[in-house]
Amino acid sequence: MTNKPLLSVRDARVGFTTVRGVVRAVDGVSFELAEGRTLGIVGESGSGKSVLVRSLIGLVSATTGVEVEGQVVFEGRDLRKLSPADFRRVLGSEIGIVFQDPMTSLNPVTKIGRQIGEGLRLNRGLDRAAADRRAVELLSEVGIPEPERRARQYPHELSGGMRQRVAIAIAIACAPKLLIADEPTTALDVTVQRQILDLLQREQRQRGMAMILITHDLGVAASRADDIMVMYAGRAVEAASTREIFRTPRMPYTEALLRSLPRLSDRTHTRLTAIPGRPPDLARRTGGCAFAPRCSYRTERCDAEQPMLTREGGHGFSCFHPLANGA
Amino acid sequence: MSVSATKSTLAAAPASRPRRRLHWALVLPLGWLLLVVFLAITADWIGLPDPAAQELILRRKPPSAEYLLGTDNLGRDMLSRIIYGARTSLIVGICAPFLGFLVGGAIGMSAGYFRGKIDLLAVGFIDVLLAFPALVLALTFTAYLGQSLFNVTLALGILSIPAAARVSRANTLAWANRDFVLAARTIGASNWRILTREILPNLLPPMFAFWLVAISVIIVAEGALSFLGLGIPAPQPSWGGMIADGREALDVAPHTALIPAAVMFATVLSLNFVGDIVRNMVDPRRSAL
Repeated sequence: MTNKPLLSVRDARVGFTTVRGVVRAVDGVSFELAEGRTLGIVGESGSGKSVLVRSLIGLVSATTGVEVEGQVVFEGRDLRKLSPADFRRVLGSEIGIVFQDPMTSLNPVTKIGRQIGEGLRLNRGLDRAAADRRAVELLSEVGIPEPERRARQYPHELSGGMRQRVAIAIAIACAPKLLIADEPTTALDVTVQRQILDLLQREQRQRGMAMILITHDLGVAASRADDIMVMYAGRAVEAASTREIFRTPRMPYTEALLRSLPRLSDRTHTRLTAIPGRPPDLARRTGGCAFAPRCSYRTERCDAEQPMLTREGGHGFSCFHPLANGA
Repeated sequence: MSVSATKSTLAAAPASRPRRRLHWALVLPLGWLLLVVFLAITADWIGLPDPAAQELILRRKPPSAEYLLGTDNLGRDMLSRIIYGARTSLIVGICAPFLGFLVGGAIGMSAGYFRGKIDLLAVGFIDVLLAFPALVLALTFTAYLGQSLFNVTLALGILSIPAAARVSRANTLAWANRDFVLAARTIGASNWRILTREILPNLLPPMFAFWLVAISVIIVAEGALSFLGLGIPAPQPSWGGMIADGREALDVAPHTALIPAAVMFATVLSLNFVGDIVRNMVDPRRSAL
């Protein structure tokens, strides 16, 4: 982590104006990502992980009633300050994204080969024939048998796992430096999930891409990410290397998450430890820690004051009562 | 071999029931429409008498060997007039909604895609246009612009803008939020490219089905305009105009009004049948997955 970061995000905020007031879906998140590294962003549904990442690449600002703030520096360029045309160029050729549901992320009326080649034609200036040829190569690279035939098919003729492979082929077509995978395995069968994750990891290593892996599955994050950022209620509550997070979690929320995982070593019929309560209403923020109502270490200070992300070594956490450092 | 076999059985399974049922319901209307279109195109070359040639001694004759569908009030050959009238009806019926769909489709797509102020403006415009009684609006246009094939087409085209805009806006809204549109943006596609390459191809099937239905509505509307004397001007035959002329002699020579009415009825019914079937075939709920 000594080299200059590929992506650096400072104080990202996203607010949605609704009838009930402004919902702060992302509330001041900062992180850095070095070349070739994988950052796992973990959190439960509605914790703001997808919105955070989509806001970075300008995908949530298209609608009205949305405010996006913060600084996003990618390869030394502030993405938020680029002209629309320059922004599209960076997005198209240097950042790839794989969405959660391959059923909706492919255009149903366009042949697969065309969809893969589209980015190449737009950003690399390839002609149709060259783009089609490259699309077939990419299909075989992501492990699709009979790529020539598949390239001429429509998305509905492929299974979910194959579609996700196609989506990955589209994302890596222009050899991006950063790959964003937004819960890439959530919509897939468990048996296919592993194949897709393996594929992502292989491509990442071969191409030296950095990756942001969004997931709500701690197990996925543990095996694939170098660093992990845990999000809760739109804030980063803990950020450290994967090893540290799993060995010595400091934030009670992370600890609770880890405890709620089933373990093979548990006796059969052991009840899973659930986190009591529900995530807070983001339209009604209190002054205190968002996790306080569900936290077993809660004190008066937790309700009154918002803990800031403090760092101890490379380990960041936002809690007044951090768990003891095991080391 | 085995691949194509599985594919065809897969395709046949959900579609077999409606396909068997729509057999005659598709063939009959489609046959009629093809006949009408064929005759309208070849009218000049199949040896028809001049549709405007009057034979006043032989007026209001019932169908006979010489005049297959009889003659009208001025002794003109009904068959010839019906076939030349099909030309008028088809030109107006096809071009007017096409015009409306070009303009309305563009309005609806921009409204559904860009949302915000553009949407507000477009929806307001559509509502204003819809609030006018349709026929009165068409009458106003043709009365001001003057009666001609072009002006009638234009007037009816403007009438079909709001419906086309609504259909395309609703469909655009549904498609614009799909991830593949976001994905297109992430590979650096511009708004124009997303609209034309990603969203438009998905709009075409429902729009095509709706266009077929719109044709029949416009043919009836053209008939109504002609019936009121503000449609296609006199020497040129049109179905609505023929019904209007025949109305005067409904008691002595009912065929002069009933035959063009029956032809229009059959054509509109056929269009509706075919439109329904096409819509079922392209229904996104059945074809999406």
